[in-house]
Amino acid sequence: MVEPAVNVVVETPVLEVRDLRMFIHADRGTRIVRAVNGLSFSLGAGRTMGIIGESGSGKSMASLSILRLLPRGARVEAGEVLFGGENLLKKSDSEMRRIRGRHIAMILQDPMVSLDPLFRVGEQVAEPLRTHQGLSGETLRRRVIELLGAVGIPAPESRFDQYPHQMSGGMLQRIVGAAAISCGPELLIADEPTTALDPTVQAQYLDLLEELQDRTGLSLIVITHDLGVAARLCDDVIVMYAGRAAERGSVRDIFERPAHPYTQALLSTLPGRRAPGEHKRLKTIDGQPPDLAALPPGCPFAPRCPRADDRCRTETPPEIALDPTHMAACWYASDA
Amino acid sequence: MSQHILSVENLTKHYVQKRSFVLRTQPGVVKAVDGIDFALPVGATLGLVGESGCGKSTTAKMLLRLEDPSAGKILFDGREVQAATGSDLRDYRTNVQAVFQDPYSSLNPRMRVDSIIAEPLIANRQVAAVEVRDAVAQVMGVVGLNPDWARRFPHEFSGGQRQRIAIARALVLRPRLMVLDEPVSALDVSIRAQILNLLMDLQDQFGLSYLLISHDLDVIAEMCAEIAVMYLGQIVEIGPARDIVANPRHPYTQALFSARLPAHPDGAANRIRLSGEIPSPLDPPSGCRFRTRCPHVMPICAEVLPPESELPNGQRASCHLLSEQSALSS
Ligand SMILES: Nc1ncnc2c1ncn2[C@@H]1O[C@H](COP(=O)(O)OP(=O)(O)OP(=O)(O)O)[C@@H](O)[C@H]1O
Ligand SMILES: Nc1ncnc2c1ncn2[C@@H]1O[C@H](COP(=O)(O)OP(=O)(O)OP(=O)(O)O)[C@@H](O)[C@H]1O
Ligand SMILES: [Mg+2]
Ligand SMILES: [Mg+2]
Repeated sequence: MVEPAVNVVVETPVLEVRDLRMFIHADRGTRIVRAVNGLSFSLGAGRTMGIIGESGSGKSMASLSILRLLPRGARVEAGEVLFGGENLLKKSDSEMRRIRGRHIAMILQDPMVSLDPLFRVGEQVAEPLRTHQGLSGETLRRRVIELLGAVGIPAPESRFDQYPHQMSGGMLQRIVGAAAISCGPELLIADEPTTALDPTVQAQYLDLLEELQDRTGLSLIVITHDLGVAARLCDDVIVMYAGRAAERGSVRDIFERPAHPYTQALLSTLPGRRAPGEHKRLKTIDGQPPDLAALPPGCPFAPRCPRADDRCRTETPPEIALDPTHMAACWYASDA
Repeated sequence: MSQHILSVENLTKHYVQKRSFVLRTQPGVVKAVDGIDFALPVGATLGLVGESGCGKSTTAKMLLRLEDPSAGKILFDGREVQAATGSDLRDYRTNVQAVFQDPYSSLNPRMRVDSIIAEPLIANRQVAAVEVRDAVAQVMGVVGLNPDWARRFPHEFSGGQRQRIAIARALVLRPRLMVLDEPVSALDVSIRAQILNLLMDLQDQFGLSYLLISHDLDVIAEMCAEIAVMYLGQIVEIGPARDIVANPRHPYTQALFSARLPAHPDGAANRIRLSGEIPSPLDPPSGCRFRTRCPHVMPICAEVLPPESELPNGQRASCHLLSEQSALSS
């Protein structure tokens, strides 16, 4: 059994992922896309874990694997997903259905995958409350309206009977959020939950999540490209690259003492707040992300890494612990 | 020819909601966009920002002729877009391209990526197959998609990769105006920077003009010469981006900019918290629409729609505080 290199939390974690690996058969099996290649982490009760990193690095696939909501052709190949000590990968489909929605909820990256365009939004938010909590009639309707109000939908009673196409992008995103928190889950996995929200609405939505956490002890995994959201919300952060954690640590470790060259490059591309119209070129990371169907040997970041040497190009670096809460998968992590 | 590639006058979209006893809906009108005016100079970028649900995407849809305005005019090169038919309409559809908020629903799941990107080219121009292939490969490279991925289907891509397919498809016709609705919010910081650099390069080289809708105020500040701030279907402040970022005058704009999250755990938080009822476009407040949440609300705000006050720098905001000040100083 593979132990995670570092135990971020001391108490029993709500969720513990050990050496998760999954792949997707593409093009009738001629290509095997290795989207998650050995991901380990643990999440304590009431804590918030952020997952940031390269687009296409397997963030969504990792979270869909945890919930066993994988697309066709995808398979979890190895690893354990312990939720309250039980391995979700061993559960039957019907057990998983009960766990999803009731104990673990997920906000998918694309709201329209969760919403049916042919049904009224109020009914769609009501669905989990009906199945898991047995609410019905006026009580159910009132509860849904209350939830829509809580996520900042104006005049929620007038929105109950609208269809998804009658709502704005940010409203749809919050409606999916309302459905996800409706049954008071213990764990919420939110994949890019605020991309369609303006700063004021986003701030209120994050307040709501934090308030929910204080009240119910909810544990949270937030996948985001918005480093401001990660900085504001998260206790711990995982930086993903090519299906692995390039770096893991407390939010301070990641933002103040980034040890992996990919994390360093990512943070250095953040545009500073400069006056509009200065029209300088924005910084990018040179090179192409690796093809997950043909991963090179060695460190997946090596082809783009300014520090890479022969060892990096041939031997995959293990997770190297820098201190008890901070680790980086880089041969030179401790030199920084 | 006009110096503005695009201008809109009193642009309005009202959605009529019928009464239904079964569904308990009240009859009403959703005032999604309620009489907005702006003009976009050739080769410039205008940013459209505002609260979720304030009417930005509806404005974009009207510009793309996906929705008919309830009132008002859209002028492209000084000519009215609503009146365009036949070859004028075809020209307009070639010259104006869009990238939408949700790349998922806008990509046909049964088409391969190269066909998705080539489709507008084939539909609008007579081009040889080789040229199509070259154009597709070139534009894929430009947005950072590996041209080897051309034969794949949209579901084989991550969220950010799909967004780049949508951008490639919009670019392939070399339009003159692009309407960009949250084009980079699904992308990591590095790819975001790559796409924004690309958009700026295209603007420098070909004089492309952009209407950019984004919730990311850093992206807006980076890209735009002018910003228009919308609240509940109306423009409450408009003017040079530099001045609005440095010194927003409308209390809503001030609250919006104050809520930006710094990308650091210690970031200063001087957020202006908005309290009070969030109004609905079905039943907007009388007078100033922001008054129910405004920290500076005065009695007059409920009664009189604030007129637009213009500052010497060209910044214009609709707020009674400003009209009072200008009345005092004159
Ligand atoms: N059905 C599929 N068939 C083949 N490859 C796929 C499929 N779905 C995803 N992939 C690939 O798996 C990789 C991981 O995808 P995933 O959606 O997890 O990325 P992500 O980190 O969530 O990216 P983003 O930030 O852009 O959403 C990507 O490189 C993607 O191209
Ligand atoms: N087809 C429709 N029928 C009825 N109302 C609609 C329709 N389309 C949009 N609306 C309403 O119009 C208003 C403006 O929506 P719009 O999509 O333009 O907002 P937005 O500014 O793009 O918001 P976001 O930032 O959340 O994407 C919303 O109240 C929305 O519910
Ligand atoms: Mg994703
Ligand atoms: Mg929108």
